[in-house]
Amino acid sequence: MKHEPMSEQTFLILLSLAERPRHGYAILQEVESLSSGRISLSTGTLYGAIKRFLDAGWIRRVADPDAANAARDRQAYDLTGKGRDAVAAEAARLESLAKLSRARLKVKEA
Amino acid sequence: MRIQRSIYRQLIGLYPPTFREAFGKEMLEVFEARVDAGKALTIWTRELLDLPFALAAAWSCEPARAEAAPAWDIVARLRMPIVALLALIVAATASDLVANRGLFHAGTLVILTALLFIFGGIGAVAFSLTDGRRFTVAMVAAASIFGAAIGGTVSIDRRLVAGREGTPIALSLPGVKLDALSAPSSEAARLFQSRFAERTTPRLRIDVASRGDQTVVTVVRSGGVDWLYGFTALLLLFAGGHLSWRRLQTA
Repeated sequence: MKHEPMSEQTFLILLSLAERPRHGYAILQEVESLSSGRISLSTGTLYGAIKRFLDAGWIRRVADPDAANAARDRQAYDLTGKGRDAVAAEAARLESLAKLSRARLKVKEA
Repeated sequence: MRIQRSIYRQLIGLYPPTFREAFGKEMLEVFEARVDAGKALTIWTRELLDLPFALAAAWSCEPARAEAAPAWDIVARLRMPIVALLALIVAATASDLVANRGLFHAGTLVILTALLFIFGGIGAVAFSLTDGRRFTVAMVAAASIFGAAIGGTVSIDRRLVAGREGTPIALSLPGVKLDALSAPSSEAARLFQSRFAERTTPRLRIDVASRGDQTVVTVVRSGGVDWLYGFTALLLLFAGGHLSWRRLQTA
């Protein structure tokens, strides 16, 4: 299945859910950590993206495994099989671009 | 924290109803967690700068946005800021009247034109976000309102120039004399009007006026453009740019 190239924000949000489900705040922290502090999303932007991913079937809502007793109804988001495929396809695209870039740079240096 | 929470809740109220129902509570929780973690100013700055984009995205994704959220709905949701703005305008106008002892003078008109532009801007954004077909009309209307507001300011500036405000450099041809149309009545009033003009008039303008066989060329240099004009124009630009971009993507 062909995937459109993703923006860096989209890619990092989905990637932050690759290991385990996370709630909104944890996603923001993970995105910041994955980008070494370079990308810091606003809450509105994050939830706009979450809505799009839910509509596209890339993520699903689950009960938050990290929630304390007092916040048992807190929601988290998990990557679906379709979402995982999309992230993998984007990773492959980036990898191919990186390979191509390295090859071109080597030719220039030689 | 209570005040911040309350303000952020108002902002969440600007999102489409379905979006609010699905994510409003979580957004508030996430916002609180971020503010608790520190750097409230940075977080607020980021939230406010991103707000026009996030709102435009959320409204444009709404499946039946024209029916679910008529333009008036957005304007109605902005009632608190509008009431605050009106109160500010009434207070500013009252102080202006007291300072200048006149009903029809520069400061009051600047406020009124700003008011016209702000409400026009809000209306244009609301229409452009809720009904794509009215987008062009809304943008043209916004541009017209902006033109009217600037036009009003320019005509007011002539009075300010006449009142020797806004650090004018006047190049008068022989035999020309400027009328003091709205000359402030006291030093305090002059200072007030001067400061007001500094905040509300454009940076540079050239006025050419004819009076019978006399011509006046006036170059006016003053402070920055009113931040309200700038903010509204930016808001329109964000909304317009975002919608155009989305339309190109879906074309």
